[in-house]
Amino acid sequence: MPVDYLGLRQQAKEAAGKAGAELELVKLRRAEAGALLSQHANNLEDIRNKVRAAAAADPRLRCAIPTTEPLDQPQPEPAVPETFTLIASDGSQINPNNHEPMHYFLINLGAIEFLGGTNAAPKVHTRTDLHFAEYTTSGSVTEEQVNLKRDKGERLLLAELAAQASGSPIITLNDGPLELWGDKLTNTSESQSFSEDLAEYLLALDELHKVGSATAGYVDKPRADLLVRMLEVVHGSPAGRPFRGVTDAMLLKNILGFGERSAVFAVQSQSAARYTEHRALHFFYLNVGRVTPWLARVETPAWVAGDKQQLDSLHAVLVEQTKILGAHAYPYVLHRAHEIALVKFEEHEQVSNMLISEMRDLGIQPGELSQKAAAKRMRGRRRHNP
Amino acid sequence: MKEQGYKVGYLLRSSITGFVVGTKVTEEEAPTFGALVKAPFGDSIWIYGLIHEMHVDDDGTVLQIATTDAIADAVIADNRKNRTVPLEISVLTVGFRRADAISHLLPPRAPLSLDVVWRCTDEEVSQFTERFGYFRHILRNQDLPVAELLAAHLQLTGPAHGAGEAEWRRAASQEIITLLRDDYQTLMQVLGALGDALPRTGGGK
Repeated sequence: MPVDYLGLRQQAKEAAGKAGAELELVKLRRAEAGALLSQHANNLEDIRNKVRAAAAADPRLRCAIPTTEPLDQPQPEPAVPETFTLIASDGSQINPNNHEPMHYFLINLGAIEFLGGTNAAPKVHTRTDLHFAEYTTSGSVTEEQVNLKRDKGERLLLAELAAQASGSPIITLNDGPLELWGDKLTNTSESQSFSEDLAEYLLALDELHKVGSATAGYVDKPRADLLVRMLEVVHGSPAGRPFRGVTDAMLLKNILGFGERSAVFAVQSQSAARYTEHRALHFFYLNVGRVTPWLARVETPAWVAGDKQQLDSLHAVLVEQTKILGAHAYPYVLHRAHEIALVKFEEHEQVSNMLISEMRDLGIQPGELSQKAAAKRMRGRRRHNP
Repeated sequence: MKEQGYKVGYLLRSSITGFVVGTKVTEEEAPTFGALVKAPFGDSIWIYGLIHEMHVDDDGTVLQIATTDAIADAVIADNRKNRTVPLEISVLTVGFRRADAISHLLPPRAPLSLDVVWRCTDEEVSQFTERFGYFRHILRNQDLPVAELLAAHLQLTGPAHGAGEAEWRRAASQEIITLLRDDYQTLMQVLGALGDALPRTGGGK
């Protein structure tokens, strides 16, 4: 049956009405938060103390911590280094599916190595790993675990390629946060697996540090409110959420001109505490929108945040990269890494068929497709052509 | 079937009357419009064809890049070398060879996917174009740029006949005039194109 469009239209009208009122409220909150940002732009030590105290009272607090730059001062686009090596990676996967005849998953990693200042075609790299009949003590490998392994793999690949790269500076980039997320992994087996993956990831970060790579995670269209949460702490009511609905991007979009970045901030959170010393997580916002503001959040470890030369190289190269795809202000190398890594639906089918064929060659009968999956694959109604 | 020489690319799709070859857009030595190429069928048959169309498809990424003010050479190189954007070459089938016997009839079968398509050597070009029966495949095809294709083909093929080049061109032009004697409009177009391509012979002498 199709969607109930008649009923849906009424719901859409009501939702649009509510959204208008809510947006007005958020606009007022944004103005208030903006005023607070300007007012406390240079009270960095005072804010750090307040965040420390608030975190002691509520260890789950997740917000920004000022570093050394004034909160509302845009940092101009630096000059692009004459030469540089920019490496980006991305990953995609075939998730394990209980409805399929076999339990397997596949992780495909793609990377591109762009030699700035030369006319050479970038080098591209692919890594494909098939995991067949892998189970944990609590059952099958879950989609969350596969996502985690993919994210870890992307970052390990960056470390591997950065170690082999020539040229300086070396900049490595992944799509999404720098932090490895394992919060959705709840049972013992998943937690154990997360700890192992995190340990490997931290070692990869150390390798990137060793080769002096300006490492970053690029978050397009960020919804985070780390800076806003910090202002709520300054406001004195972090639990009451007086600026609810306001995002960092909303707060900064009228402050940052094209190519400018915000101040660099550190991160207060329980999970970020896993990243200590030179790995400590930092971030800044970058306006890559030439016509209208378009903010991205760029996460870096402490060794990049604290090194002006690395920070400037990263900043300048990112702005240059976002110009390549015309109206789509997104780093070209990340777009290409995604293209390289993407496992298409037809490829999914081919991998499954290859596995079934190999099993049959060895006289092993693969399992059955579930009745539900088989029913979903039934052919649709055909047109009669006389 | 083994072959030495220049590989044009791999066959993507085919029919009895033509086939499409895929190759990288960076292949600088790729044969040109009007050239004679061949695809194998089994161990004993070569299927011959004339290149009549080449095209490169766009995609979202290329369209976006094209809207920018200046495109870095590295980005152009990346798109040409690394991205899966093949140059598609369309070939009109004009005959086949079984052992040493050349026929200007259509082949008994269409060539198969991923067969390697080769550029013909001068010797093969000379042998295949000795007679002009294959012109009918070009002339009957209303969708082809007939005049331009014939002109380019004659210009490319002449040198393969060595000392007999001028005579071959004269005979080829005469054959075209005979075949098009009832189609004045097309004949004028072809003679005009031949005049541009072969200024010395001017479509005749």
